[in-house]
Amino acid sequence: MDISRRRHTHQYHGKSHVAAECGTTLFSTCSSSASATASLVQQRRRWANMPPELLHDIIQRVEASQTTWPTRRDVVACALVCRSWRKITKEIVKTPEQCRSLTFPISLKQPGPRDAPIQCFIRRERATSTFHLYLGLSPALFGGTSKLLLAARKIRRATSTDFVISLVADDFSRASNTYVGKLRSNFLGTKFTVYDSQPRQDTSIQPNCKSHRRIYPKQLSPRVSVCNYSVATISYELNVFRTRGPRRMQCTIHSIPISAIQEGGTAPTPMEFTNFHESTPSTSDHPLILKNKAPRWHEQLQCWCLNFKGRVTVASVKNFLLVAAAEPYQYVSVTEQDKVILQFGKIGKDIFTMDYRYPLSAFQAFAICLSSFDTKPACE
Amino acid sequence: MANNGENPSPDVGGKTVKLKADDGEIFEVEEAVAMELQTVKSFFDDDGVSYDTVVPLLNVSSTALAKVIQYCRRAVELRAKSGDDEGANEKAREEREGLEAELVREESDEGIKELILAANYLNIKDMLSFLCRAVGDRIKNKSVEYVRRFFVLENDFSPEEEERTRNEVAWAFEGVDAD
Repeated sequence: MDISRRRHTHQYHGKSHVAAECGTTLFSTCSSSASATASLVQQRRRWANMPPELLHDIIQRVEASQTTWPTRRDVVACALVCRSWRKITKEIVKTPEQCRSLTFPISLKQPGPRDAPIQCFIRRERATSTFHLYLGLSPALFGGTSKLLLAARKIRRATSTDFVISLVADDFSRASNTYVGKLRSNFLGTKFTVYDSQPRQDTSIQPNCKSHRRIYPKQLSPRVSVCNYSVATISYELNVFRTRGPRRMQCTIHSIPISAIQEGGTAPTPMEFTNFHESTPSTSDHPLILKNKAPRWHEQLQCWCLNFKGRVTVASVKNFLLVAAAEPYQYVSVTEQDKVILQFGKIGKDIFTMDYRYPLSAFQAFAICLSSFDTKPACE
Repeated sequence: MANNGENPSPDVGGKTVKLKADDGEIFEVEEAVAMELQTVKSFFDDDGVSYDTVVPLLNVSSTALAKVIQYCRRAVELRAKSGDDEGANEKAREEREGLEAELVREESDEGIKELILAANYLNIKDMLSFLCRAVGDRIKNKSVEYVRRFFVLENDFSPEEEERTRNEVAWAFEGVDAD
């Protein structure tokens, strides 16, 4: 902003006057249409080359004011304008762990907040065997305008069942760019594997690609392959006493190390979707294990009770609270072990609430909850 | 010149400063008002220049400068009104917000841009703040293409980059055409 710099101004002697943009003043008689046009062109150029800090300010204001859906999509729009806007927007937007807001699809694969869960609900559509995950406390409060986060379709196969998980409700093709992963169950419905289409970012985690299948879809060019990475396994065990008591549930999250919930720990946080296989070095690190909290027997009410803090209102064997299971030598604080990392339960016919928090992501949480829909009578 | 109405002769006894817009028009303003423009302030502070010197503002049109001066004049007045009194402060703040709202409400998109560039060049923090807020408001709930046109930008994504953003479009704008 060196105002002592002299700019060459040419004085033309014209006869016409040009009305200024706002229409309230006219240029003085020493200006002409030529220099007025020149200054408009100048301004256009200056505007197009606006200082980055100004652009940053504007985008930041949009991000700060549009914190909830549906208006949060204005932030996504900023990231779609052009390269410089995308770069600035991505710099400004924080992860769900940091700010509690879900902004981009990748937010669904980033860990939730540490202090309190993000509250969602799942609607089951029996006719089409689909499940929709929405952001929000429950359907009633939003009158049908809740943000759809993920959708899943159940596909029964000869020896297993797949839940294909997608970003949109109308496309479950695994070749589509909206495919994000799947849940596969074994024949008995006692063991499940969560597959992520996203390769792991954290190089300290060994990819457990046991079922690493390359799919070459016809729609994409041959060099692009779609891989599935096993990120978690879930197992259900029959209640020991074979009564109608709750079943035991254990989730081993291969993609999250136990260190994530130790002092100063972090969980893997992908920043972009990628669809190519990256080989990562292997190290041994104990995976995070989640177990369902044992309910207490309520003598007076004669039933098993879990404290869902009002978020679950209908008794169902599907309901569960997951907490971290750690050995003493793993140095996980009592506070961390008490935190309910994933909570799932019924609130009405075909409506369930799902509350998740760090270190789980919305995708992992949803996949784990889907397993609850497929367990067979052997486990109930 | 219509600006004469908004730029009356300065009060007797007050120092004034002369500002020259890009088309050569001179604006004579009270010193307190001129110092709201940080760029003008540093012009005098840094170089020890005499207050009689005409300040050349080559990147600011007379239209924009007139509005800037009008706003700063009112801002200085309102600031003088507020003091220790909570009530007076509140009233002054409300009046300032009303002034800002009025200024942006009347402006076309081109006008707002001109003002932002001027406020940025002249380094007027408060004015820049509410103008940026106004621009943010104008692009809310608009399509990506609208934003591009407003900011005079080209879509410079490569086909591969564009492909990778498609899932964002599908997910964030379900049912809505983003372009």
